[in-house]
Amino acid sequence: MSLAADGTPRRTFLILLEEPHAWSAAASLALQAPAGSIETLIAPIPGVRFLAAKGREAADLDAWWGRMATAPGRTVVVAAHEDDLPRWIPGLDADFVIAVPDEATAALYQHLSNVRSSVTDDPRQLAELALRQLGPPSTPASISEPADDTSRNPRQTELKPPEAAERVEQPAVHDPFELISRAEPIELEPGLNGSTPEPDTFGRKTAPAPVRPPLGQAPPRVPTTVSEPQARAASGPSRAGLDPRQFLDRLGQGRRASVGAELGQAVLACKPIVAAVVSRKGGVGKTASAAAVAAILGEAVDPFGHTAALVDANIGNPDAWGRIDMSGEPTTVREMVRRLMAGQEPPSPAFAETPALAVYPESREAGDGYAPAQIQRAATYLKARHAAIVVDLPNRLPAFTSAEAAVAAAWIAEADVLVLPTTADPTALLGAIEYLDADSVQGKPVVVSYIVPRARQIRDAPQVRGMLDRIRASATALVEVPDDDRATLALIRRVAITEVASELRHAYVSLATRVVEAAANRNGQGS
Amino acid sequence: MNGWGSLGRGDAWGSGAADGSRPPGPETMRGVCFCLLYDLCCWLAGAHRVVSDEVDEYTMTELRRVEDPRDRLRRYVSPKLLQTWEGALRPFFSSGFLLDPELGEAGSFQDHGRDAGGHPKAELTFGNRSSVVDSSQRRHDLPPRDWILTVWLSPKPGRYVENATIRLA
Repeated sequence: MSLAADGTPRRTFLILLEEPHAWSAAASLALQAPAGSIETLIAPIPGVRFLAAKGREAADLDAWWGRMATAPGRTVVVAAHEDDLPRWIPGLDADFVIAVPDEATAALYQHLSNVRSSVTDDPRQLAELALRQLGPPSTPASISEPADDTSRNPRQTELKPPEAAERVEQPAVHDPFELISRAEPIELEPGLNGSTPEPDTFGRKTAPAPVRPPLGQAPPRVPTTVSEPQARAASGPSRAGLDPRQFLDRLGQGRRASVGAELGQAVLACKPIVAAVVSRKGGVGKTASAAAVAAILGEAVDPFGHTAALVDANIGNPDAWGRIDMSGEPTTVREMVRRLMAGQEPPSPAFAETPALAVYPESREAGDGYAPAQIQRAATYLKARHAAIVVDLPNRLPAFTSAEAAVAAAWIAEADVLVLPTTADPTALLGAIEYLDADSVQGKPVVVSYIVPRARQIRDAPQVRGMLDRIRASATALVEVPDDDRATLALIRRVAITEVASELRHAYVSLATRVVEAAANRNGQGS
Repeated sequence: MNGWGSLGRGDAWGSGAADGSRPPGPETMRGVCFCLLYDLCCWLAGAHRVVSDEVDEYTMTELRRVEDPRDRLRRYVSPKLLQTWEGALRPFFSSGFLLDPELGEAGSFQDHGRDAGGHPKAELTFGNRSSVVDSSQRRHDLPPRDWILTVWLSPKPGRYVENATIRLA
């Protein structure tokens, strides 16, 4: 069994890697861990700094840990070697899986029993190793129940005996284009004029030998006068011909879905729209969905001179941003609320590289909640300035039992429509059903964004299909979003998730469209 | 015949005369480069499906309905070249890899007309940003690099791709 009797995850995997490696590792864990068996947290501060924090910072991190970590088992820490790391580990009550650059560095951890080191620079491999060696399915007996809640905190200490480093074999990955580039050259048949091909025919980098055309036959080389489209193509992307972006899109990816003027007009017809992106469970793509819907809505209203806004209300995990590349110093939600409550005008927001999208990240020091009146004030302010506002909420059911749940409740009260992402993970599906059944959600249109698993066995599992049917019956609409690692790639490349893969973009255009339709119907603007 | 056909439509190569005395136009060469790279990527990706109508750059109309990309390639690429590529790609396929194609945005096309041997020649530069997926469904990003695909057509009647190379840009 990988789940505790009450269905909560057995172990917390705490990732201390820097972004974007942290996200890659987290994605790998999410893909490979049995559903609901672990919970994954990305530390607000990576590396040794998380362990070495002092004073106020340490108190904040402990509070963060107290809020976020729920699994009863011994924590697994996924980290990369730093010079100071070996001296911080002794005594910590956690298992460590550490990426090291070489065997010599691995030796620095040999005396530590709670450390598995691995010579790798691949965060996914590191995560897989952590899961294989310390995850619930493979080593259920190794899970030790903590004596008390604080003993799970890897920032607290305790010592254990040593173990040898493990080397992870890197699979040889062949670049097929490189293989072709090394292919045996083939000889061209003699041409019309019977001459032999030029030496550079086979891609050699030697200068071509001059070939003298036979007498009376003009040399048929015509290339230097290229057509106008060719000239454009040679100097960069050409719209007339083989536009590389078009080419990319069509190579197995399908067309780049466009955001039509209709969507922008629909938004403006019922503006301002407030969409709250909600979830009961983490790891379902909530932040990605919020960023994607906001980016699409920004694109939709941009031609009409309006803007959309993306608001991070995820006070429990305010460091989750990074899905949008922002320019300038962002105004945080906390600062905006502080100014508004003081009767002052908040500073201008940061705008994403995506056109017409203002981004309001949450302060890293967030943790305290907001009073409903503060959220009401912030919503009023945002609604006066933006045609569409997408709010990323904490992973909590709306309630007034905790700061995060109260923030969720207050924003949901302001929302015209809810976006509820879920994966096929049964705990996520159950969480979605719970959300749909919540009292404060009743009467609000809910658009479910379902991340469709790649494995057919999961897609077709009766348990999954049954729960999806229940969700479909309660939700306003359900939009399927492909499970695509390139959502993580978007983070790595610092591009909008809507720009990294056409299937993802297409799905998110559909999702944004359903969101606007739902809001329009609620506001009496729908057809 | 050589066992492989000339291309789809009789005028698939565009404006070139049937006897090959005139070079095909740049748009024709552009289409050939596109089709070749498209079919190669489909082959590497294990994508066995017809060429969708949406891919309007795919100029070999009569090959659109052929599902196997290698069968499409066999119809317009020299068997010798295909054999060479199959040999070169053996380590890739035997490891159970599949390409998840993603070509970057730095692309350009240049038609070189005929080379000294009378072979119509064109070059397409493309950025490879693809990843490969191994047999355990793990994804491995390939190093992002720009490549030049050079294509030579046979100068003889019933033109076909006689040679093609890929080299680093």
